[in-house]
Amino acid sequence: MRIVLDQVVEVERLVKEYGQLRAVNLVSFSVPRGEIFGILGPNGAGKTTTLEIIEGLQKPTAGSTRVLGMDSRREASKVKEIIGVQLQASAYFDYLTLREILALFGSFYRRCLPPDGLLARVGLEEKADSLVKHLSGGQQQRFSIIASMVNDPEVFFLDEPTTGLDPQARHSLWELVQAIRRDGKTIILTTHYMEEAETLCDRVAIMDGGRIVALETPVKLIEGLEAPFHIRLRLSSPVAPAALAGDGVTRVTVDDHDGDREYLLQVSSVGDCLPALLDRLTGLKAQVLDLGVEKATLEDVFLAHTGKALRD
Amino acid sequence: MGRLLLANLKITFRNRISLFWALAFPLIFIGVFALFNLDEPSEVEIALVDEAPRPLTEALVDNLETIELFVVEPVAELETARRDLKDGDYHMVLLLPRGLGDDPQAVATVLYSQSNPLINQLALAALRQLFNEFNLQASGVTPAVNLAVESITTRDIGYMDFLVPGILGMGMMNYAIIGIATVLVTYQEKRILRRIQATPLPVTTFIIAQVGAFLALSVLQTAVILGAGSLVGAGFTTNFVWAFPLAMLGSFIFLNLGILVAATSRSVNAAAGMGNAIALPMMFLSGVFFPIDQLPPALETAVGFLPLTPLLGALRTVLLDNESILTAWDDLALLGVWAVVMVAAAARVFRLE
Repeated sequence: MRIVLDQVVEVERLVKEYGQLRAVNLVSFSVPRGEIFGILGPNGAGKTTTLEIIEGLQKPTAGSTRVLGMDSRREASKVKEIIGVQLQASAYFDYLTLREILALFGSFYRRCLPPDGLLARVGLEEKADSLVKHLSGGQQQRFSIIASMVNDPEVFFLDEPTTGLDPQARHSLWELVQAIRRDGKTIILTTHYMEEAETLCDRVAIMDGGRIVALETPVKLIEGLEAPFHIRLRLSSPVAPAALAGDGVTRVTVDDHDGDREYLLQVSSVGDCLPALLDRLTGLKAQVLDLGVEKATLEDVFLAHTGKALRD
Repeated sequence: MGRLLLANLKITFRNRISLFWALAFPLIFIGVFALFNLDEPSEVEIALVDEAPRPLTEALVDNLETIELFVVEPVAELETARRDLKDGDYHMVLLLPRGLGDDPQAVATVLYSQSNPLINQLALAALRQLFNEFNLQASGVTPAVNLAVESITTRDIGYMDFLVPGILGMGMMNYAIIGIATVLVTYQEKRILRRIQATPLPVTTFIIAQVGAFLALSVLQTAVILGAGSLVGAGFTTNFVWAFPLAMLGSFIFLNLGILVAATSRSVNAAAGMGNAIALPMMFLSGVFFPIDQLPPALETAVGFLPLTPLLGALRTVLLDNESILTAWDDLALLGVWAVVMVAAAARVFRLE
């Protein structure tokens, strides 16, 4: 029983069908208290549908979801009391001020936090009497997060919270999410930004075509790759890509920048591959002009699991 | 619920453009119609050509002048009178020829232009009556039957008295249908309803509060329309306060119709277009501007079942006829049926969503 309560959100064999289309296909995962859990995937992967079923906004075709042990469907109103929801592309009332909107949404719950304190948390206290349309994109997004905090929820569901934001606004939102987690809250967010999933999330579920294709911490996802490192090379004279392969180099691609070729090698281990590679280059009489080693990213993880690139 | 209603009132009353149209649109109609003098003609100008004045014709003219409707002006020459009639200086020319009363060939003749049928009808009827009575008097016959005419209204009723209840009903209908439909579709587009669905508050409660705010606005609309009406000559009846609950009932029916429109529209433009497609025919058929008894009988019967028709009927019972609202029990019953049907339909549609 203790184990059950440690998991704030549990999703079991979730299926959602729209006619012939299976938008969510046997998705299972659970999220412990205090975690920032990311669902990463392209548009149409089933991220939003999964969230909306957990939030009690949609009915699953099969399977179940629970929040703090309560069924999202049968105990929907109890679940809604303790979750904070930020919807993708959702707006607020045009003719109410920020303070009025927060007070109004607060009145929908048994327990609510005072609007001014919430506004102060994200530096919007001076905008308390403004309308939403007079806020910048980043301010609107911060506002929509504190609007999801009015009931002091245990779990937050943020659906693509940083989509369309500039890098600065995105970073300030990440800080806000981390501050929420420091309060002991649990956060589940969806994103299609690799960097966001990598730096913000404790664990990431990679979704594609309605299924979770991988679920781990970002570090383990990357380390689990066949070739978790990249070597970038520039050489004095051109060589055939095939000549670079072998000895732990699993894949070679060439970027041609106006005749200036850059070789991108995916390797399983830098320590094992690099000496052998340099030996071979000597044999090929190609001098190394430039060499860089990088860790693979979630982009590569996505590519490895789905066979396609995830476009930002 | 109190806070929710208050928030919805703020939303409704702060939407200046929508508020402007809610109030200005009916007022524009009242203003435009007030510019035309659509009331019945107060007087008919008659050019009198008496070719040979003598006691008989003078007595006739005296009788003619006692009729309030007529303004009689003697003109010497028939040709002059005929020309002035053509120019629109007179409504009619009455020719009393030489030998009237003695020579059977000599008959009094009325010339009139076709330009004003309403005036012609009234004036010709009055003239025939005058000649009949004069003949009876002259021949010394006591009329076998007499007709006493008594007006049952205690005040003068003008076109504005008829029009203002019509505009009131129209204002309720237009704003309720199009107003709530566009608001709800906007909320759907902006995913505000979805956002509310993610809270413990039932979306139905939110929509009920929105309906409540519109009903509050309908009270203001009623006051403004009646006020503007009285400025342009529509009188207040002692029963006028009943117009407020009636207008709210009408607004309530049309708000539910607007919810149905919202449920079937995917965009604000579609909602506004569909709302207009429903409201405009009713505006012209249900008797906003003219009494529906001028319609072909079959159509009149059909139009009688539209929700605007009984609303206007009940409004005119209290605002025009100054009768007790209970006199309009049949209109009230029909409105009640519409209210129940519309609420049931709106509730069903929203449960399905």
